[in-house]
Amino acid sequence: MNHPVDVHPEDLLDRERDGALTLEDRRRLDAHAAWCSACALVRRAGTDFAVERITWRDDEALAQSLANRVLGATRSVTPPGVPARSRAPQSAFIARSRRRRRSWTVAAVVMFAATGATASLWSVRRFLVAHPVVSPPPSLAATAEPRKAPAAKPAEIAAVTVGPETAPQAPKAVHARAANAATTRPKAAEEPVVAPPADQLFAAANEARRRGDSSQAIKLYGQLQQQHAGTREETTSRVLLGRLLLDRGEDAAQALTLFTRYLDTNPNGTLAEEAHLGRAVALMRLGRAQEERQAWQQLLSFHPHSIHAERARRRLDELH
Amino acid sequence: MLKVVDGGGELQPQEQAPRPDPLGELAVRAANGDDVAMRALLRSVATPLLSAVRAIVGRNSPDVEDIAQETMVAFVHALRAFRGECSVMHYASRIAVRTAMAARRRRLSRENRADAFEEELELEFEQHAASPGHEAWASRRRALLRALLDELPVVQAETFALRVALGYSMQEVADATSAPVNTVRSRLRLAKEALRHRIEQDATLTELLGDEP
Repeated sequence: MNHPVDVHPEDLLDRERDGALTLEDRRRLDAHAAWCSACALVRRAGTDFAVERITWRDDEALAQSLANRVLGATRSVTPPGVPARSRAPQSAFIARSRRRRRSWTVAAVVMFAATGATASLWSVRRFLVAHPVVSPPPSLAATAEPRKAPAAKPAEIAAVTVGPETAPQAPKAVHARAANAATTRPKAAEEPVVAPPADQLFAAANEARRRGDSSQAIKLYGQLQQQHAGTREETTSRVLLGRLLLDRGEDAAQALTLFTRYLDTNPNGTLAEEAHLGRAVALMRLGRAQEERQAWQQLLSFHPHSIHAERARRRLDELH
Repeated sequence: MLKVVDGGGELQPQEQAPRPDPLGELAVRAANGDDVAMRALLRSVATPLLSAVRAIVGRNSPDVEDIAQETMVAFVHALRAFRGECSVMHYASRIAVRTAMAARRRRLSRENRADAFEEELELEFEQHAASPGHEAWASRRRALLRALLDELPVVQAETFALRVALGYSMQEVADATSAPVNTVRSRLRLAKEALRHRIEQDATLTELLGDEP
């Protein structure tokens, strides 16, 4: 079939996922998605699922709790010499887990009833002390002391891993719990925060960048660089963050460092052309003319057919 | 203003030397019966596994915890079969996808598929009731794609889930499924054909492709 894409759409989707689409790539992908409803939907759904995969500290607590349960049962699940893929013990374990959950439910009901009964007895005693005439109170329930609200589970009051600004779709209740964490459980704030995986942070940062929330994107790229140094996502984010900083007219020195670090690691990387251009522009903003000249020359040397070549030559003329 | 960049190109795996798998050694020790390693390993993969399960069955699904737990048990059991052909995390994610898809299919075999789809949509909408616009549309897209996963042949569904729900690159899907990249392409093409057919059959689904309100 003759259609406007000569690079495989899946490769273009990969580049978009990595934040590495060229203008030409984007035109191709847009043209393809205009007639391919499946790719159009998948393209949008990529972001939908990325947002849903963002990890919250509640998730950490739940996951660790599940892991502990499995670890507690592992010895009985896989005794030495038993084939690893035996399904029966696994089913038995899950069933045990469900029974355990039911047991907890029953225990909770019993506790509730016991608490209510205790409260009622206590009320009766107080009533009898206050009213020596022996007659049953009209309504025990009405005089019962209210039960204390059950203590929140640690997972419910723990702070959020990625911060409320990272996932705007998060329920407000979660933010309230995070706010309470500092006052109700000071130890929770001291607990080590497990970083979200690099791919999730990268996807969230790219999503923020695409929707124009550059402040959020800068924050997330920064987090990615601190927590996942050396990963492919972190390396790529150096160029993307550098570009954002320059686009916003902010901190050319930091942008310069980012572009330089990218080129140090990936002198022939696929974003090298943009990194060279970014270095030249950052040096121009910083007024370092001699180094700027070298940067433009490097751009022309490494990428003589760059779409930025004409701009580089013009600027070099101005600098002479 | 800098007018760079939508420049760039694809990120090619070969441009950086492959990094050693940070969980590889733990996995080997755990598979050989080292309890300490097993504990450390399972705790390392627990959160990504939960995240993967949620991506497949939906964040609000009442079965998430059971399925995540089932996934962890399956991972422990499958560790002895791990040959290091992909990263431990990819291996674990693939197990999560398979377990979660199997759980969805078991559930659907007990229930009417249409009812289950409606129920899932309701769950998604409950979650995002406070933020109608974008998230409501995102919920519909997720529900549609999950429903598609239930209908595709297992291998296609697994490939499609890793690619779309977990956001893997083509190479990562190929590594995780021990299949050549071209095979992955082929499976994705078939899955997308099924998706396209489904969209063409139901005119209301085309609104998911348009501009959001």
